[in-house]
Amino acid sequence: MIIPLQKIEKPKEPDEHQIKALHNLAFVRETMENAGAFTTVPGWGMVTIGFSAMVTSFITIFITNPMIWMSIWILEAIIAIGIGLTSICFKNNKLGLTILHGIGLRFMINLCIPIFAAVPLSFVLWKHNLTFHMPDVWLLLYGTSIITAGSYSLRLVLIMGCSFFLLGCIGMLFPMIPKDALMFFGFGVLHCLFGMLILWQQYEKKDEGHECKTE
Amino acid sequence: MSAKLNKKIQEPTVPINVVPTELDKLIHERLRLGIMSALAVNDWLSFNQLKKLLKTTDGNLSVHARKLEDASYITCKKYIYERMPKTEYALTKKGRKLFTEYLQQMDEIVKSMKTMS
Repeated sequence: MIIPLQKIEKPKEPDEHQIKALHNLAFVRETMENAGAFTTVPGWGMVTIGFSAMVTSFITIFITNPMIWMSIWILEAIIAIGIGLTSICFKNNKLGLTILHGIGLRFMINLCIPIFAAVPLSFVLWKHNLTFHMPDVWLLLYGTSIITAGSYSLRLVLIMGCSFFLLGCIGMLFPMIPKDALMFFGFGVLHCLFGMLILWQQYEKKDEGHECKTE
Repeated sequence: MSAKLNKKIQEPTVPINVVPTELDKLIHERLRLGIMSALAVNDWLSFNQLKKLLKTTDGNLSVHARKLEDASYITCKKYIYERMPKTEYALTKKGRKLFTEYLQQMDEIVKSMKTMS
């Protein structure tokens, strides 16, 4: 019996409406990303936070007392928050925005809630002499706060949040990794790296004539 | 037998050439689409911010923003800040709803393209 061959139809080329739809969606996404960048921490702010965390991690290498170690890092967190807020306010002032306005406020709320959760959690860990995993918990919660706030910002900020989250998980899964190294790499290197990436992205777009992002 | 085999050739379930007759013509223009997109992720944006973002001129932006405002897709507020007049725009509820619908329509068109290939 002869089985007739089925005619294989070539996939039809997309028509102009479909191509335009693709371009429109890409344009919408790009515009939203650029417009959402008004709420990000400036790259230079992140680099500064990163350097301060690196300095702190060098100091804490020599600290053996968990209470003192924790206090130094809490102080560093307060300094980092101060640097971050100052840089956001400075940048938004230039654009005529306020941090307590609409999307800026939502960004801050989403950023702060997981960080505030770290306070009672850290206290409980310290109380039960479980300070060994505190850096992992801090990295996880900080990553969570960046991920949730990152939905109002650049995609790069979202990736940064995932990096912190992943590092926290690695710290928990591989307890043999020195915690000072984790803190140095996490709060130090990652902040510097993503800060520089944001700066590079903005200056690259300036060269192409994209003047929408300002520092 | 051949009838059975022929039945296996599936007819496409999604129309191959989707003609978007019901697309919102007001949004379906590049600069106006850009205005709607930018306002979708910000509560308010100033005239200058929109101008920088969309890389357009004062006149062009004014004309297109006015069209959106006349159709109640966006709202406008004017005020004085540090003795300088400021104009800010925001999406209205109607504008946000229609913009979301527009994006869904675009998405359907793109999906139909992927089904074809």
